[in-house]
Amino acid sequence: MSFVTMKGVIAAALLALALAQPVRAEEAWQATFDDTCARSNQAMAMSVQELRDLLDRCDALRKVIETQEESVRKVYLKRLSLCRNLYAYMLEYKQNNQAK
Amino acid sequence: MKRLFLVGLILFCGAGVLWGAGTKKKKPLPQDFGSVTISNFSQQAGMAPVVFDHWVHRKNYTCRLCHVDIGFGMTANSTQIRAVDNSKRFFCGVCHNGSSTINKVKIFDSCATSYTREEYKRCVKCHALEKDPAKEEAFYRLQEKMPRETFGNGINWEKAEETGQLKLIDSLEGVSFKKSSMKVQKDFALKGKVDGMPDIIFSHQKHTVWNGCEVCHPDIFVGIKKGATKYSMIDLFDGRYCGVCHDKVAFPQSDCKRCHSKPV
Repeated sequence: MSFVTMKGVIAAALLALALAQPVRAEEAWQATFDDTCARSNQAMAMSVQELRDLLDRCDALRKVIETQEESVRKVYLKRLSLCRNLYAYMLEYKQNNQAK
Repeated sequence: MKRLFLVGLILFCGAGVLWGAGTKKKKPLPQDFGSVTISNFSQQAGMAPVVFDHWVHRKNYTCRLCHVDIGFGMTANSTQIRAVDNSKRFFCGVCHNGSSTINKVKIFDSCATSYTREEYKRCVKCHALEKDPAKEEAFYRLQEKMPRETFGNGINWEKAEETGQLKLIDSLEGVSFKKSSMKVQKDFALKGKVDGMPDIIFSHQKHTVWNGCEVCHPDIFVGIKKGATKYSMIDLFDGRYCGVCHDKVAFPQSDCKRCHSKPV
């Protein structure tokens, strides 16, 4: 393989890597979103600490989703607010119960 | 004669006052019960608003799937759907993508950025204010097979789901999360405020089949503890609490015995 061909292969590989990274980043936040919000069914049984951790994850996710394109932002901010509100609601309930 | 004239005059004036104040709401036809007109951007794009029929969708899908997993708001025009969202396969475009099927029938595609005269026929399936006789006929064909109800659109959706006549889809590949089963809260009774009116039996079991938790909590019902959220029938008729769904899509609140069902 000549030096020029070799350089071409490396450049193509680097380009492919650069293009793949945003896709991976997108997959990463979506996986975090799925993992965070899929637990809403168990919210009633969670501890105060678990709920607090989930709320922190929701807040971190919000920042990432706000940087996405408009359609994604619209859908996922709505979905995130539904699950975040549920966790916050359960947390409030549990904290009130602990205080009594 | 004078008395008859006076009674006639009172009736005439009374009817005029009621008509003028708009106190009598027009009862929708069974096939129109639950229809929502969505008009955020359609008219700017030269299209008629979208008339969304809940009955077409709720015979196949849970409320939760659309209002949680897909992200549709609970009030008309709150979602601010654009054609571009649908063509990117969000909102209506999740299912209306030209390849998804329901009961082995292909679901028609949603919005396109450009379209031919032939394809325009597809646009007016949703962007239509005129009555579609075919849709009306389809509604009555469905109604015939379903358990009947006096109010709303004449279908007892709850019974249809219970008896297995409706097999509701609650998740979609690539959209919904994989969730574990939920521990459903017990049914409870709420005291009726009017003497002689039976107490209300609220069933979490029945509601979670269609809605999951997030549709109602905390956006519609903030209180967790029974009795924490105070509301009256006036609030409900005003479209709050139970009235967010009941009267609009779920059975109307005029069907008292469906909720006030505790045996006396």
